[in-house]
Amino acid sequence: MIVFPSESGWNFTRSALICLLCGFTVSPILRTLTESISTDTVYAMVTLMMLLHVIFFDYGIESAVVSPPISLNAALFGAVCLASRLSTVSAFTLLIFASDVFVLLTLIRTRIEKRASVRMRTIFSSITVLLSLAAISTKPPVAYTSYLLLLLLLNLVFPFCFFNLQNMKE
Amino acid sequence: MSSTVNVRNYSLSETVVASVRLSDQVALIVLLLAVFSSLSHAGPMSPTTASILVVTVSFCLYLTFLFVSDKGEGTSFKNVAADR
Repeated sequence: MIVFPSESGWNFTRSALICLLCGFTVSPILRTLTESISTDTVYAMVTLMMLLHVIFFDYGIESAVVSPPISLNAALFGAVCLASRLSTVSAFTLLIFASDVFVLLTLIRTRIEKRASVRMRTIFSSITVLLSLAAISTKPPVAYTSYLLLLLLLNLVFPFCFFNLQNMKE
Repeated sequence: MSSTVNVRNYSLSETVVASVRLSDQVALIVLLLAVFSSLSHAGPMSPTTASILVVTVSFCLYLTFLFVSDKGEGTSFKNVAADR
């Protein structure tokens, strides 16, 4: 649990600013972290870490492989690997973005799922997917099409297969 | 030594919620990669880097403040931890 000295807004804002400042201060070190590792290896590590993140993430279904700490650490480690290939300011930007996306947004989504209506959840998920589609729209058409196909598989085909085939479990 | 394995079938709503969460996570990863791609093609402090930095930091501050503000019901980190 995160403990802050007091619960006033200014103290929390100050804590956030201190975290940002510390992150910016240590971001030049990131460049030296993977200096001796080739870029291909770094990309392979990022792929592996993101796969681990997806595998261990808590999807709301009880399972032995669910482990939020492993999932979060894998995602942040992947982001650190990516950031090590960038300049100082860009690395800092990417790390802050990763913490926003994988820590704060996950907290917000957990809160929305527990307290808000189904409509709010749908709006949140739609905004996330639309943002990612907009971000990838400038990339080659193959990437865009592959991503659309993946979304189709994840949202329609795989759940359909899973739901219909689980009766055959023993 | 025998072991018992619980095998149960998941409901349709559980399946749909899990698949939506999975597609959300994939979307977030794609978003991260897109930002990395933009940053790696830009210079050290190009307009792209600067704009992403400003938006991200302000978003971070906003979300942090949103979570730690003690106004309203259950908007502090303690309550989030209690929720979990």
